[in-house]
Amino acid sequence: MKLNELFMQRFIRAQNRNIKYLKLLFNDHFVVFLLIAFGASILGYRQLIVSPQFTSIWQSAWWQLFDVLWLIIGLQMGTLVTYFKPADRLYLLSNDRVIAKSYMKRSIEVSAVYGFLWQIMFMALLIPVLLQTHIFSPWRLGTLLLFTLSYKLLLLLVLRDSLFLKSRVNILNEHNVIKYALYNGIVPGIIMMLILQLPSNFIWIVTCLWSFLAFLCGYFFYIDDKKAEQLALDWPKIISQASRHEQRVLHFYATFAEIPNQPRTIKRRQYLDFVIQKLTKHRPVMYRLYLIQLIRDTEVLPLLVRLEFVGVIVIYALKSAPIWLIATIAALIMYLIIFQMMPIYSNIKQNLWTKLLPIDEKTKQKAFQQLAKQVMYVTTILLVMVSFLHGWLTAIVVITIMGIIGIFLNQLYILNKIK
Amino acid sequence: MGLKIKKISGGYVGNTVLKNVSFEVANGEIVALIGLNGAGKSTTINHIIGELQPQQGTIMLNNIYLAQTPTAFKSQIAYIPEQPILYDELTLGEHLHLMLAAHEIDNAVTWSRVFDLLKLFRLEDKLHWLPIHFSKGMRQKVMLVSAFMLDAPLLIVDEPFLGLDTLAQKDVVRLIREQAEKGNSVLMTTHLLSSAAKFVDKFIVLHEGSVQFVGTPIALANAHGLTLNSLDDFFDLMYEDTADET
Repeated sequence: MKLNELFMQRFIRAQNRNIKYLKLLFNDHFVVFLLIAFGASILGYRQLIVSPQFTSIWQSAWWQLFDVLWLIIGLQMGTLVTYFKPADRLYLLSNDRVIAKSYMKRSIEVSAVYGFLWQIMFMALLIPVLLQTHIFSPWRLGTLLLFTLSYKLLLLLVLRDSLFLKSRVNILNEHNVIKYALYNGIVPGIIMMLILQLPSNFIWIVTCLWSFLAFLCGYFFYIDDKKAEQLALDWPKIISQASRHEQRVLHFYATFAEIPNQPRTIKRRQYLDFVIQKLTKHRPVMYRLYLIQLIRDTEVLPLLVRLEFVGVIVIYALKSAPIWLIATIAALIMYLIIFQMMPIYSNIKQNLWTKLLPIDEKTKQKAFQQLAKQVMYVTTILLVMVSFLHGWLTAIVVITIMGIIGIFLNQLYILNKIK
Repeated sequence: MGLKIKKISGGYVGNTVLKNVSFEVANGEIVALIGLNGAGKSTTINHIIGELQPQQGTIMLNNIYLAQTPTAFKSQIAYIPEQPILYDELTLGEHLHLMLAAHEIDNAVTWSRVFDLLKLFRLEDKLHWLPIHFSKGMRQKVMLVSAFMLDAPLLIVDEPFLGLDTLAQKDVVRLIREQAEKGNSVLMTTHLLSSAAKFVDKFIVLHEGSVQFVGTPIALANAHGLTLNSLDDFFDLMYEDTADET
């Protein structure tokens, strides 16, 4: 196998995996949720843009700060994709030069494409807002886009540089947070603000200066044969970066679909021990086990909290929406929450210790249903409380629909999934 | 009574490992299942703990059939696997309470015995630790405590000395003997025949999924012209015999 081609082989393998997971994702009821959520978002965004009472807000100088913040958030999207594996530190140990020269070059190319797509998406979402302002011009927009794309590329190059043992950028090495804030927020924020605020006649000066600076930086980070000879890879850092990226991708898919063999991490969360003690008193042993996993798993609990939070926000935001839409969103949130809880059951079931416990399958299933029921109660209470803000009728419809969905999920869906 | 295995054949999907395996482990008896890698020792154990379903044959413990009443059967066994298996999210204390509660013996009397075991393996101050903080040896000791605390009618130990220091090894032998003295059956696997010969009542030799020999350590040594001290050479002889056959 040629080492030069290793990155592309891994890239293709990763795309095949993505296709497999996307199929899993879009085969599920997620598509319905996505369509409704997408439609509701477009509708809401359009209403917000055309609403006369917001015109003055879009045009205020303060709002431009939000525009810049939005683009800065966009800049954080898309990291360096390297596809390094833990075993590489052993098998590729003596190939630092080839990796630095060829493998990392390919890695930057692919990462830049992903990074650029993110920037274009963030910019596209901002265009309707910019169109409402006095400062909008195609020239200014083009400059802003050019800047975000080139700056994203530079951020990726800085990140690649940090993966070598002797990093060439040695500014603020001891102060990682300040360094991050400077590179990823303050510097691009100031330049974006300049592009938005400067009179049109001056924009070309910013464009020329930035192009010159970006070219110099690009040259500085370019790795030729001579530089590649002097570079050594920081393997622990490289592997941890690659593994974090892979985890994030898997985590995204796992939000909506069951992803096999996903490594799990645990957080002690001692401050929640009182909840475990309170809830597990006089409860079956299996219930205790499921609850502890829910509370200490680093994936499931934050995901459930986020979904509850998103549910509350979405239902609150749907002020003028029809009641059926609010009830449907509430039901979908409930479904997604239960869907996310299912790996708790399968993870515990797979453990040999569980298999050895002298507890029959029915008792195990009942204990899980009990926990799911409690989570559904919490969700229903939260979402019904928010629905009250839209009137009694909305709340009654939401509680009825959630009750029906709850019974369906607990009596049919969960039982069917855990059989 | 005790454990009775009658003519079991089984293994994994598409791969029959065990062929008509039959043996017994009487109450108070310590039996070691021995054989070369791939002989079927772990497969046998996996059948006894209910991990695998035999294609034919029966597994019975104190008149309770595994196939008919698996929960009642499992409530009589304690198992120490070769590789420690723990829940990532449970502390040591929670593991032990879980196992005791599942066997309906999570009470003060049992817990005092558990605490003695924890002290023996120097784990008494680690009750609030998560498995991620345990060394490999400590993880194995958690398995030992969780099995010995049950005083189960059948103790199954897969390679009891793996990953343990010599102090812990001696303690394990003593605890295994204690279990037998209490009238519980012990089934173990090992490759350290000379060490095992000092405390086991019976060796069962498995070869290519079949029982080749059942007898006392001295009978096994005599059958192959060995002494108890040189019993570790048994596998060399077995390998040579296999090579000659092929």
